[in-house]
Amino acid sequence: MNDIKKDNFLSIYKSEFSSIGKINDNGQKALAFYKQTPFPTTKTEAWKDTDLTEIFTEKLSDAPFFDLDESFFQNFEMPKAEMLRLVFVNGHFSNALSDTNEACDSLVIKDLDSAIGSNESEINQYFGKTNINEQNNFTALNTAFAKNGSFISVKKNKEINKLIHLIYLTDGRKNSAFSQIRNLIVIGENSKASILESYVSLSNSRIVSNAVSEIFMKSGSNLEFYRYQVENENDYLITNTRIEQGANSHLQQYIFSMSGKLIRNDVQVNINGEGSTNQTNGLSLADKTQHFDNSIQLIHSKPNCESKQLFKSLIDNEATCVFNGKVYVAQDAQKTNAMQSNKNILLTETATAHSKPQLEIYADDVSCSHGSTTGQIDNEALFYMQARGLGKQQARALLLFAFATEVADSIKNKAVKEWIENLIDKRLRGRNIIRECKHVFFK
Amino acid sequence: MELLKIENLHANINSKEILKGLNLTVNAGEVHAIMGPNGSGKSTLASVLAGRETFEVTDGKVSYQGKDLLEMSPEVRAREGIFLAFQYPVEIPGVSITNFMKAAVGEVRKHRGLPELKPAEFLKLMKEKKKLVEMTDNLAGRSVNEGFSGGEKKRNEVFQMAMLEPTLKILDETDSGLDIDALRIVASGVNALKSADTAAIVITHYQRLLDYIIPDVVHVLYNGKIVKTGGKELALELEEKGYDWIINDLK
Repeated sequence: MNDIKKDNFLSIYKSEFSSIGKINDNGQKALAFYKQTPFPTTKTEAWKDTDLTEIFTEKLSDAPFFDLDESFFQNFEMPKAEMLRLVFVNGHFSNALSDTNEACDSLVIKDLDSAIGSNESEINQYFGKTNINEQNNFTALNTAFAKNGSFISVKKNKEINKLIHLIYLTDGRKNSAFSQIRNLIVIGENSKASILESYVSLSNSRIVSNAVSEIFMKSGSNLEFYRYQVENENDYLITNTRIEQGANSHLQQYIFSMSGKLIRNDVQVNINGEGSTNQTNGLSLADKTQHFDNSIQLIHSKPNCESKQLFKSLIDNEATCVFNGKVYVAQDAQKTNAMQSNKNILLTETATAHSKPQLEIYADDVSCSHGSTTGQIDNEALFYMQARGLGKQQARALLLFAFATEVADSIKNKAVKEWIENLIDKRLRGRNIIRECKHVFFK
Repeated sequence: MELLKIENLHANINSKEILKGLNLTVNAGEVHAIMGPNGSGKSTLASVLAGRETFEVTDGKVSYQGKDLLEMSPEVRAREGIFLAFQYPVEIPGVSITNFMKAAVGEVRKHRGLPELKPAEFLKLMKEKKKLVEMTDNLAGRSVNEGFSGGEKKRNEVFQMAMLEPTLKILDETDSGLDIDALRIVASGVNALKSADTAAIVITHYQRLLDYIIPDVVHVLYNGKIVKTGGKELALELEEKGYDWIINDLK
């Protein structure tokens, strides 16, 4: 019954594995899994609020590579940060647009396809080792056929001061197309890095993007990881991410979903060593019929770790946001400190929020809490601000901006924080990074 | 000089009439106290003057400095110099007092045709007014009213009042929830802002606040109307005898 859906994707690749798919025969195993597993439907518990049917309605082609003018990157500049960047267009690496100077002995930053040849031992050591390959049909498809993505490896005891910016651009040139990205990131022992991923579409064509990332944080490592997602209103973005945190590692990750027809982020973090901390935040700004879904699993396997989650959304028109978060505390993970919070503001009566914060705890000496609130903009606060001389629109703008930027408050990299706050403000005023989005929240 | 003139004011909330033909005139330089039992319409009067939309004015006139107040939006009233110190100040998460006041002072000055304050001038103004209500720097950096104690909230109201330099100050039960020290600080802040060009309406349950803010005129509001007006000694009489003697006189 699902065969047509599955064949649609397979016909794009004619069953030819990519170089990534050939790593340790992963592709073959993934393809076998794909063939026997149906795509999720709204009857699948983890997908009950997100309907993928429309992805399968139109035949997709392999999204082609094309060149861009380098001046395009003015949009991505951050005046206060030095940057290294990898650029992909429809899942194909653009060497010309990338800038990896100073990739010295502290850091390997290159496209994954070339890394297969040059960094073979590391690839063999890490690639596919999070069990993400056969997680679902999207990860299996990615494992078998993704052509490229980013490979980042930070060596032991190194601090990378430049911001690593991974830019994934899509443009179907009027066609409906499928684009895949496969990433592998390793942060070495006692090392520190900041990585920003931007998913940006350039046209109004319909692209289905399927990104899979594996991130390994060795003991004592520090990572700030930000995702900025601005697809166009016909685009689908499905991301699957696994993060392995070693002992005394500190991860701060942020997901900013600003535009797109449908975005689904599946993130699983395994905290596998003592003394680690994790902050996972998300902000969804959804309007019209946009649909953003964050599905977050935090697994505490070891004692004395801390995790905090804050997911917020502003939902306008007929848009929908979903938060599905689970904190799992294993029996051994005593003294776990976990907090999970989801806050939504519905700006119209037709906007929808689905919220499902969950705790599953098998240890007896832990401190875990979770909460979820969904409401309207606070009219009392609006009146209070008006009574001090602020116009209604200005008061509303101040309230919404304050609500949204709380998600970014804990970002330590000042340049990124300023950049993203500015993009949030722009978005609320009707602009995205490269063009108008014609929707104003501050009305 | 007549600052505020309320004539035959009727106002409803959810179709229930709360103000039933209220008359009140306030001149520049005066402090008026409005007292009365619970449910008599004191806070409704404050809300209607500030422009809260949940109240519907069904009849009557309110003129402020010769202009029709009821025609103005809440923000225009504020810019024109009306300030309501809220009985229950609202928490505004994520907006610091400093940023809030920067926006408010900017709007008010623009409306009054005054030049924009330079950052240094604004900070100086903040410092001066914080001192007036003994507000700490730490508090000013925090989100408006978020996690504030009752006393801190009321102090913040008087601080904002000082920042915006209003002409007509309305204090809605500013004394509720205050201990004696906070009451003294809040009252001395209000007194410091007293001038010949401005006026204040002090709404309160208790005589206590009027020991610190001495009124020129005391009104008793009952069942949506002002039923008795007198000098400051009326407040003492009410404290001693309660409201029943006035209510009984009406019958």
